[in-house]
Amino acid sequence: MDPLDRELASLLSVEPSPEFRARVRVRIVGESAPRARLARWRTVAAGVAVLSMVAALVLGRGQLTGGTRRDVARPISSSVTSDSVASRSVASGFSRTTGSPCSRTSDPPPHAVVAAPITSGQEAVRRRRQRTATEVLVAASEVRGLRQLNALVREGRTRFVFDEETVPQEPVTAIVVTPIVIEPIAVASVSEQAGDSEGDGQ
Amino acid sequence: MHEFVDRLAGSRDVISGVDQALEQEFEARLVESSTLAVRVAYSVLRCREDAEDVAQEAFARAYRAFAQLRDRQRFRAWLVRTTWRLAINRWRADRRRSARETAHAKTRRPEPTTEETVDGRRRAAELWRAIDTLPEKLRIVIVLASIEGHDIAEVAALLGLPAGTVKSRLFLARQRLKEQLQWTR
Repeated sequence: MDPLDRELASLLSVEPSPEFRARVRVRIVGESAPRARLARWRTVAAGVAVLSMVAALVLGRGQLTGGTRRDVARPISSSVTSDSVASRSVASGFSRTTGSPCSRTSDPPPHAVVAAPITSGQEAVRRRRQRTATEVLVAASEVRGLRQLNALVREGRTRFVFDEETVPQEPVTAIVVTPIVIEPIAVASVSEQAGDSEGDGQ
Repeated sequence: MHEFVDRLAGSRDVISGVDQALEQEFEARLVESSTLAVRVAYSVLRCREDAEDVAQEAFARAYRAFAQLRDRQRFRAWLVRTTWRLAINRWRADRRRSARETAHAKTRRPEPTTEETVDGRRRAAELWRAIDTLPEKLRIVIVLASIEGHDIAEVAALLGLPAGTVKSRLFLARQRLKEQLQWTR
């Protein structure tokens, strides 16, 4: 062995103290306990996060399904085409809508439009809307156009722009109807009519 | 339901068994590598207490990452590199702190070695000074080669370097040390 290597080996021949390993063990034990607690909390937090995500998904799907069902069901069920409905609507003259066009199918118009099956939740919503919404009568020929307009607005592809020149700024508060004055018709008396006839005879 | 509880209890037993196996493996690594870690730290810090502190920190970090360090060779290589890095950081921090301290502050003296004679202490101090002049990459090579009689292949495995690189660095480090020691003697 080289003398230099021997000197180096002797220089570095320090041994750890007897308590070194015990200190390391104590340090590790001290660290592992909080880590276990942290792991438990992490598990709980992960569980809560997963549960909330599942709940959000379920609720979101419920809303989405309801919205889609409404959109799909609104025109008419799959068994009845829109053309046939349009022809029947035209035949009846008016199509009856209630509130927003989305709720029309829930209240079938008199022309026997068959709506898609509605769940009990949707039925409750429909009844609530029916109670609160105002009833609007729309001509059957305009129903399809209104539906398309509604769909475009819902999808954000169309927005309403009001022309300020034609649309009044102030809302109409009262409608004043001017009374119509009807003058009585002047009718000649019977004696005058008889006198006239005698004079004619002479 | 009972079946589920039984299976849960069984899986807990399996997990605790795995934990126990890991603990036992780590204990074995601690026993066989504690000297290595302390010596590596000591070669930088020249103080046994500081070296043990650094080695303890390195073992604590190794414990946290022990799932990836179960292989013996990998564990030792990781431990050496981590201990060396921690020791260098500690040494630099100490140097900065001592530079900030006033002149009357107590300076750390080298730990007495196994050589008890005055001449031996003088030679050891010269050797330390010579080692200090080496660049870091040469110093770690010669320190590891001097600890526990590691050969070139072992040092290469510990440092993750090719054996040829370790050999040339070792040669260069010895040459420089000899030059330094001849110049001082």
